[in-house]
Amino acid sequence: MFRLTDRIMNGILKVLGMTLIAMVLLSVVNVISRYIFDKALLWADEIAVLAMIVIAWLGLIICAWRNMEIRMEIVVSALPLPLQNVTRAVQQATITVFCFWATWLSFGYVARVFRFGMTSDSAGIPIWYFHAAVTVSLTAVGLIAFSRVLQAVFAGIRGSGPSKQPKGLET
Amino acid sequence: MSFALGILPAGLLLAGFPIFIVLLAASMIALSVYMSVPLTAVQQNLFGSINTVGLLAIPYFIFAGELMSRGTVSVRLVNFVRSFVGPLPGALGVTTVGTASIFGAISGSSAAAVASVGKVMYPAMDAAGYPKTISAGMITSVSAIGIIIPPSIPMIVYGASSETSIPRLYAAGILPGLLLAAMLALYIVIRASGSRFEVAERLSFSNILKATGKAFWALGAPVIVLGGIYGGVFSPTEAAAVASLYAIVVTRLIFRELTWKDILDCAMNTALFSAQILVIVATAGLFSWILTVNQVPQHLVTWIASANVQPWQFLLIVNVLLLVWGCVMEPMSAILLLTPVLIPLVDALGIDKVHFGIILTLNLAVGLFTPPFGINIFVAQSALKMRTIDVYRGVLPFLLVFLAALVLITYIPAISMTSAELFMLD
Repeated sequence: MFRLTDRIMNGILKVLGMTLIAMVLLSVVNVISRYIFDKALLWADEIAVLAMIVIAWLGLIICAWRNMEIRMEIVVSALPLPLQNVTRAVQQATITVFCFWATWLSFGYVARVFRFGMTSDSAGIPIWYFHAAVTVSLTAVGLIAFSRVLQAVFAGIRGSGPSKQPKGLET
Repeated sequence: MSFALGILPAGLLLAGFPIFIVLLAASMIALSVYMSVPLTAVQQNLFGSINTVGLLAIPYFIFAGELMSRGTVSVRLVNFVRSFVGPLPGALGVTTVGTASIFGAISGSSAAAVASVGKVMYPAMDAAGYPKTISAGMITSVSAIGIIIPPSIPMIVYGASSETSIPRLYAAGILPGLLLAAMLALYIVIRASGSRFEVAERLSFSNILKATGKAFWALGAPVIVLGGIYGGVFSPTEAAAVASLYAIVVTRLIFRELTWKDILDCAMNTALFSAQILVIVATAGLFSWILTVNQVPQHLVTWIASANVQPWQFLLIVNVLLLVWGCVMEPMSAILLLTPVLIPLVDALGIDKVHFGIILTLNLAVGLFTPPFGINIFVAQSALKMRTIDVYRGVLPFLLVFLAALVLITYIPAISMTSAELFMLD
């Protein structure tokens, strides 16, 4: 299960990397079009920004999976190990609650945008596609945190301590 | 309300929660418990805060830096700078300062400069007899110039969150960055004068020509970015996109050092790093909207006015606060958390937002290499195979030079403002 999820995460990251390269090319084509052909592609910036929003929110899922979210660990890392484990379990439980709550709010908004048939200003793409990236991301991050809470609980029951997570970016 | 907007986020931050959760949780509690605002504001702000063309420059500049920091770009820049400063005492140290400054103008990333410049300069300084702690400290600290000299990613974040012109901020960063580089180089020259670290090289025109030829394509990146922005050809976002494409062309087709797979790998790293930052931008947007709706900044302004705080006192307090803050938090998060609160005070005290942006960036640049958690320290420790304590000791003399520069740049606004006037063509 861990390996499969890891493979899915790598696949998503590869798609996000390719999206970024496409965004760069689109922005450069826009510059060339404006200066050489005197024709600005009004939709190009809009598409690039919407793609950036998707990269931000779907990228968050991979950051959460790899424990790479930016955080300030100065106090927690100074605590004794058992207390660190408890703190991390509480963190994951809190993340679960807030992510699922935000997912619920986000879903309600996306459903409304879908019903109204709202589209982006220049490209005319249904905007709910991009809003849904927030919903999907918060759901996935909530699920990842919830699975870690369960791991911590089962590890506590077995008395073996929580499983080791890959080390993330800490400030 | 002070619980949701002050005590709760401070507590979650100290408890090591991801910063985006700190901001999201505080905002949601504030909205649902203390405010009668529809909760649709959460999604609107999470989406809308990053729905801005200006922020596209963040992934683009990170991508350009990621590409340029692989391969031999740093070696070419080192040889280029060395060909000019070879006769000076401490030439290798001065070369490190010069290369880190140019590298900053290419990538805007300080950590990339530590790893790339360090890999080339550390063995060279070691062979020339520089004490290991000094070499490591020098590489770790001088690489922080990268976020002051444009293009600077923290300046984009500050510009976006304080509604300040990014081209103007970039222009204002040039002279302070060069002043800092000059002060660091002067310190190294004075320090090396009394010792025999290395044999001086003679200035040779043919050497300069040869090194310039080899560094030509690498030097093209800052010329395109800054020339494009200040020549009125590109916006900073477009300049960043062109810099990314230029980096692909140079590293793949001209230097032939990266494969297409490496380029995709760089893009994947960029996507991940951008996501870490942009999600904080999104949640900080929600948090800052709640602060504004609740008139928190206005209350602070009233308090400052009643306390009769002078601008110089405010800047002193802010400098101390930012130096401490920068020691434990990376610059982008610090900017996003502090800017919404500080900018109304800056406006009320009549301090120019561009000048303040340079002060903020310089303070956070210092935080990149100050113990205990400066990110450059850990990059240096890993790239140079040094003990953390040795890097800590090595950065101290350079920290004093940075602090001296900070005092000058804070209390002589003309340095930043002249730079802004000088380099803004319009």
